[in-house]
Amino acid sequence: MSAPLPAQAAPLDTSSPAPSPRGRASRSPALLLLLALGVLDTAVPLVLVSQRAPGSAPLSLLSGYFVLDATSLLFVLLINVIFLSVATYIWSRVRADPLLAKGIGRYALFSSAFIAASNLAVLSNHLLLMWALLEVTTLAAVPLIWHHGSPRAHQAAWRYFLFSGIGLALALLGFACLGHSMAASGEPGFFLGELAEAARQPADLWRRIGLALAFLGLGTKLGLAPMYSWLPETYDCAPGSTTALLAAVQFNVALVPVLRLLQVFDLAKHPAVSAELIGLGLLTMAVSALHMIAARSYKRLLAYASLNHAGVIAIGLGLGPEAAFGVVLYVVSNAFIKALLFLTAGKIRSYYQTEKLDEVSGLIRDLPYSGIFFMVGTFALLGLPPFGSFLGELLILSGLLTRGYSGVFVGFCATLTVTFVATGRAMFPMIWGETKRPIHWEAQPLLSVLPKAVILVALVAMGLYLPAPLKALFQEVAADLGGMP
Amino acid sequence: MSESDLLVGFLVVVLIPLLAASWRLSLLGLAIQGTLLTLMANAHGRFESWTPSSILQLVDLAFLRAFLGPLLLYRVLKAQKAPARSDVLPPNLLVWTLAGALVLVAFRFGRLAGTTDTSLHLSVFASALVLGLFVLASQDSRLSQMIGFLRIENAIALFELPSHHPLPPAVHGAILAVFLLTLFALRSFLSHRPAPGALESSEGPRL
Repeated sequence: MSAPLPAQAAPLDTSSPAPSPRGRASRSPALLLLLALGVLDTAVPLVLVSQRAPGSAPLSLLSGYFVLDATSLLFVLLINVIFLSVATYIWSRVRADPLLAKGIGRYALFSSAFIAASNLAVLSNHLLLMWALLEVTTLAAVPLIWHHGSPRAHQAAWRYFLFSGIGLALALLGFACLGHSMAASGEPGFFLGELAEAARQPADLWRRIGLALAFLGLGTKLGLAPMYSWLPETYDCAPGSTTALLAAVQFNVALVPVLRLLQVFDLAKHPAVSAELIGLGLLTMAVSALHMIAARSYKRLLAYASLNHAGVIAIGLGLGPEAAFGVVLYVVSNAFIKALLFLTAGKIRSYYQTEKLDEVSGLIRDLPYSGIFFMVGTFALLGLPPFGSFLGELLILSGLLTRGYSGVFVGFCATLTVTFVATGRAMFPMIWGETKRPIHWEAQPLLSVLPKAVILVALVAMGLYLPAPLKALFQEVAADLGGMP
Repeated sequence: MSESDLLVGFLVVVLIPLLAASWRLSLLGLAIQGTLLTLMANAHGRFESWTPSSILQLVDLAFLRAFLGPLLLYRVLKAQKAPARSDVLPPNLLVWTLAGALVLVAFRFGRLAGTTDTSLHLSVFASALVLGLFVLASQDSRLSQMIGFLRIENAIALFELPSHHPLPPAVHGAILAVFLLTLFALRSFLSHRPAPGALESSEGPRL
């Protein structure tokens, strides 16, 4: 398990006859359970993807309350791969610093509840059940945010809870309006099949209000402007592992109901929804670009970059079929980028004991592995080739031109340029600047590097080569959104 | 009492605590809102037969909204010996005028979107919703934000009342469980408020 890699964490002392505090901490049953859960949750969807024939019919589970189709399978696989990385990261951090073992059982318990609810939400075939499970992920994330018990983290947890609660309440109100609309034309039902049936009826006022509220509410959960202020504060104040869970797992769980609604309600018949998504997306990109210029903390900079990505995804979704494949590619890349960067940011903070941009310099020499992960993650964040984010962004930009949205295209490019400059100006000196500390490398277990290395490989592979079963899955999800298979 | 009387009563209970700066009155207002919602559900014939759906609705309205939610917050505030005064809205004429204007806009919406039978219901719902959002937008104290949040939850419950199509019990139960957990989370946030000025304290190692 342990390899003498030149890196930053202290090595595991195997010569001592009695278990060291480090060994005891890393063998905590809660941590091992978390790891086992991550392995199991990742293995099952991996097997399903590899065995699945392209275009196979959705599998209905538990009296139809849950469904395994291309969308749910892709997102279950995605969130569990990331969860496994986060679980391994937590294990390696506790192993390196036994002080972190305090309260780790509680942390593992809520993380397990979080991923269980996330999986069920993604698999849900009933819109209101999906909503309830999304709420459960929010409730489970609250103790993860204030895990360290600092007043700042507590305040951030409150803001997260409040904004999520209001966003989800608005989404619930939107669903209730959709129910009102369906009641006027027949029996209302929130199973996805029933919604698809109802969507064939002409749109009335209640459906328009319902969709507008549902996307506004879910947009709040995704961190879209105008109700985005919870996101930078929460991502900044939460532990790195929690931020990775929120940014790369919960974001995608909240995205699934958006995708489900877009699969059911054709954007061509609801131009107001398309305009709402593109408007919110562009506003979010502009807001995040302005904040990025002023960011003084690398975690906050990454948080604003996450906002930027949410904006790009909203614009892509608003374009409909023209950008469907690009959006799917971008969403998956984005999840890996955020997981890689936030986990690495946690490691950087533990080494430098600061989150200030100007106090971290020479990362590539001080922490070679973290430096490489941070460098590659930053390149992917900026949408450089050969990463999936580059191709995804290109397809979304192409969709904007195809639809004739030249004004949005210009705004999109302008904010991307500002983002590029702001990120590069802040991150590049952090990675390649002069080191401010004496270099002292210690051995690091392979397992602590492996999760980020796996994410890094996945990130690069998505831009260069997608295995056939995964490519088919991506295409099916895009086709469900109306895109070309 | 007719449904119209109950709706007018609900509107009064939504408005009065905004003008009185007392957390006790705010919590009492929430409890009365829950009670009125229960009576309205009864007027709609929800409790004529005992089905899983009707039992869940009774638990939701009569127990969680009218009793448990206000009680949990009350006990925390009483234990903390919170000062009696607590503004739900900033006490000035401009804010009260804005609140009044929002109610007028909500009634305009109710008339436009509803029929003769439903316009009062929609007007009261829209008033409760926009006033809940207004409380959230105008206050930064944790208690006021909680009260604004619970007001919005009650407004949504009011909107859903006329629906004659019950949810599957599993889904209804899940939504109810989430609301119960939310109430306990609110209690926890209220009882663990950081001391003022403590936001910049130093922190130890982090995961």
